[in-house]
Amino acid sequence: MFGRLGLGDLTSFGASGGGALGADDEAVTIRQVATVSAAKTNTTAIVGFSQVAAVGIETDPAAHYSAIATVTAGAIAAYTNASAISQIAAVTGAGFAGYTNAAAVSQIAAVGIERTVGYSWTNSEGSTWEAQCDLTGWDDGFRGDVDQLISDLKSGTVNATNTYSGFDLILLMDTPNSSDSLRYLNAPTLTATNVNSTAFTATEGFTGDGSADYINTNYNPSTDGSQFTQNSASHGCWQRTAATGGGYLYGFFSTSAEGIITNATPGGYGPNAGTTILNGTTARASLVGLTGINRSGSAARQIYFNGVSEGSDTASSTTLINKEVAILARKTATADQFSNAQISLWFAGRSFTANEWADIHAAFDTYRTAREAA
Amino acid sequence: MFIILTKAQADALRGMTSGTTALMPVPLKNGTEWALPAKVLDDPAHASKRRALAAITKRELTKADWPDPDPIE
Repeated sequence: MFGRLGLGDLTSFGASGGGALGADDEAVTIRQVATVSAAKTNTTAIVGFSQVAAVGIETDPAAHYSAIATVTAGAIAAYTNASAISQIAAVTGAGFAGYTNAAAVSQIAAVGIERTVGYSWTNSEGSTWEAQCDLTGWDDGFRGDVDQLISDLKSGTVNATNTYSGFDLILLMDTPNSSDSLRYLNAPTLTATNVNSTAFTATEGFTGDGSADYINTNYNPSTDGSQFTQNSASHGCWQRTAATGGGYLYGFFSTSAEGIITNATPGGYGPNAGTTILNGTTARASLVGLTGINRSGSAARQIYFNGVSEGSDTASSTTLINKEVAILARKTATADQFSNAQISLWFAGRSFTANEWADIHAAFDTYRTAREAA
Repeated sequence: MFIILTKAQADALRGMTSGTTALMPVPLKNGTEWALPAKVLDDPAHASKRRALAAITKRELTKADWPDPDPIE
């Protein structure tokens, strides 16, 4: 029996081998070691203790580990008891990396070890979005691109305008995974819906089949519009690959139409203008880039391509329509006017001035350029 | 290739299949049939519907099978 062993006895015992220790003595002996090792703050002793715990002799490791101030990587890797880990006040980086117990990890983070690891967002909106996301395929390069986009929308790189708060919704459809490409950047508890398996390519966006698939934004201007109102409204999208064969890049139709259509010039319906189309003046082989349509007053609309106004009219405003907006199609009772374009982002918000449209385009262009290079 | 559904089949299959994915059959011009792209069979998001989908007739569709575009386009 070793029930009355002191520190000197144990050290001597360890050095001379364990053959004399009987099975009935193990638990008592271990508790004595724990007390001594804590007093010595000897990491070698701690490693030895963790090994004992791992083979099951210790029945209440949490109580005895509570005094441990520091642990080496090896000890953490060998130890798997969550309640005991939660008692640890400090852990080395390597030791933390080897540990996978969620409950224990949360405890370690609480004492500040984890705060030194990972991307540091400049804009809290990015961090809030990330917290809701799937994160598959994410890296700090992507986080940086999104962070820069938010900064650019807040401060405007051309005219120093702040447009970020003017959007009801911003949907980045070109994230590293399809799930996060359906989660709104500025309203991260809300998501769009991939209907009928619309094809997704990371860093690029969603591509329609031109016949039966689309993205439902789940955004209904009449019920979800906050910034988007009858006499101050806008919507737009970034077309990465031009459609062939017509269709809507996004929109809806009931008694009134909204959206951008495939056309030789930038063209579209709305905001809140019945069925009156507004076309730009410059024909192009394709409309790759940012196309948006804006209502700045009860009788004032403009259409923008890549941040520059290309047309305007005085179509009178109509009340908001109770219909969800589809992307790569036109939402009706079901959906029609499908497009085979590839869309990288979509948004809806208040009216923006010409200076603001220039800043919005610059921000999205910087972001898209970065994603293309990723 | 498209999966061709009756109205009853379309009604049974229509709806969300996960938090961010859905099946929404599209009506054909004849008014009696609905279509889904056959690729939905390979999408893990719709796994819960795969058995029912796999048993339904498939065929190619032409432009004439789809409804005429609305005057507003």
